[in-house]
Amino acid sequence: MIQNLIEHTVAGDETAARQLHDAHYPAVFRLAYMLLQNRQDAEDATQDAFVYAFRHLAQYDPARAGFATWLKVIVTSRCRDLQRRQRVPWFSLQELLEAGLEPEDEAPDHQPDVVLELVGVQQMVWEALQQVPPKSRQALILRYFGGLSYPEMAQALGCSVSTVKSRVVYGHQALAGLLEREARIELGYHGYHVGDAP
Amino acid sequence: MNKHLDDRQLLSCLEDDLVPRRREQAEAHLRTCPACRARLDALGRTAANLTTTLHAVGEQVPLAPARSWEAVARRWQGERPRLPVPPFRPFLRHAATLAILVLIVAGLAGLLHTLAVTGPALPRATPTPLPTPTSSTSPSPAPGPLPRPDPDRLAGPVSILVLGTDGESATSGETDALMLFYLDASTRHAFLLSIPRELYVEVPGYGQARAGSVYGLGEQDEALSGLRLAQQVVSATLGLPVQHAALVRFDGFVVLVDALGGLDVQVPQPIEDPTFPDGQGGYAPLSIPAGRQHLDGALALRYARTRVVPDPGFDRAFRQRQLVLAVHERVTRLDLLPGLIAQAPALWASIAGGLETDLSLSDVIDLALLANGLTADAIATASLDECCTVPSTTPAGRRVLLPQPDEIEALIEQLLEEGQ
Repeated sequence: MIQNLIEHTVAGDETAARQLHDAHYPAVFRLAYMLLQNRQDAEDATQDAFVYAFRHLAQYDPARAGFATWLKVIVTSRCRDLQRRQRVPWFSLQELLEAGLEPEDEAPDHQPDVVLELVGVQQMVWEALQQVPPKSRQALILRYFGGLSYPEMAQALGCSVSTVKSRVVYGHQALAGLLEREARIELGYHGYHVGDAP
Repeated sequence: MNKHLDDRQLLSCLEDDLVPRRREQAEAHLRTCPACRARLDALGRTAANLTTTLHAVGEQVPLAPARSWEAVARRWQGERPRLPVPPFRPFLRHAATLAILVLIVAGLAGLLHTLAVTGPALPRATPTPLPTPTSSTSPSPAPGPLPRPDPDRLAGPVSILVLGTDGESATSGETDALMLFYLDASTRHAFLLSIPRELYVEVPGYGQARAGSVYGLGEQDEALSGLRLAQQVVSATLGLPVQHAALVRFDGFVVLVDALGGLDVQVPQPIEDPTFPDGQGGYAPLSIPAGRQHLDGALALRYARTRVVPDPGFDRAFRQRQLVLAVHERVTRLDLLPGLIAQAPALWASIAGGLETDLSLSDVIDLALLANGLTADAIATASLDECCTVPSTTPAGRRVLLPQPDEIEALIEQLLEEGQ
């Protein structure tokens, strides 16, 4: 079915392309939104990903990954490009020297433009997640929301499997620390059980 | 196994991602260690909470599939060429990426040079200045402290003619690759247009000539320079302003890598290329084993140029990106920096010998960094090939391509529009 749609899209069939787009848009856009937490940027990344995918459809190999996974890897890579460009729109030599030759690693702060309704533990987890360093946060999102495997994450993020795994581990440690502190402060250990008792 | 499991091992346990022997060891430890069991449970809970939280958030993200499809369809359709644009011929694409690679490397070397302002003064170590009235905004830098780059200076669209030569052809005045690199920094739109050296162009004062010979003609003329003439001719042929020009010699890349003490790259799969050309019509077999390899300049260039593709993900573009990153890593590693700064005058001199341009040093640095930030997909590529030329033969019997002005105009328009 999906292979059929892919073949028609390669041949230039717009109806098939639209079906492919509509079937996968929600997952792709949601992942982009989670990674970027900005609606406009997520829309750009999603569109980029589909345009790229349609142009490179002949390269898709169903034996290597599901189509949805392939799209997720592409959109992740687009998100990364987008962030990188926003982060370093232009180097001047002076800025580079002042920055000690390393560009700043932090993404610009975005005001969330979607009001979320979360309760209890989910609210706590989501808030804590915002304080996890960006690279680890993205790794957690790709793993637990995108459902990508470590090799797929490595491909999407352009780094080694070992590095992405370290980011997930570090993300877990950071998150657990934040939640534990939160639990101690606000809920006195009743609301959220983290880690083993001392 | 009495040692506690670390977080990485616990995650592997949770995800059942251990080889059987390790899993048995971990399970044996977990049976006897309540602390590790508790940590594993906690990790599992966090993972589960994270999954449900993220999906709850995902559900609340407002979707707009119709709007997305409209934009995708417009761009997908828009990118279908109105004219059949033939793909870059492999040789030209290869020459083009190498030229950009060298330009990036030159930018980094220039950066080093500026860091070495406390080092010895460098008479004439900067790129050869040219008498170019159009580039009055970018005077050639004086040796020693350099003018501070103005971030806005390259902010508008800029076209740079890049001539590539392998060094041997430079003495004959023939350039073996001509490329126009167009970059609009404000829209981040870039394209790379390859101009065949057989293109038969109108050269003021010389009648018609092959594009590859124009540089040489200009060099013979005392009142002109090769770059200046090539820039004028290409600008007139394409109907597009060309602000800058650069001549890049690939052997400059070799010298630079050697000056950096070679590059370390991770070679994912062994490379065996028994038919690597030796430049004299014969073969110079190339063999690089897999694993972390230290490449000197000549080997790095061959690594970048070999046509052997052991795996689809390990093609030439991949290797060239690897080399760019390796150079970048080498140049910016802080522990290497003091030594490199001390060497910078020699480095910059080696690159300046392989690069001739009317761009100022700071322009090259800015361009190189900007080009470094562009992904390969962000750069459209096209070639003035059969789409806009007609093959012919000169009275002297040389094969040439006659430019077709209407088709060229349409192609340029199309390339410019893609950025809209």
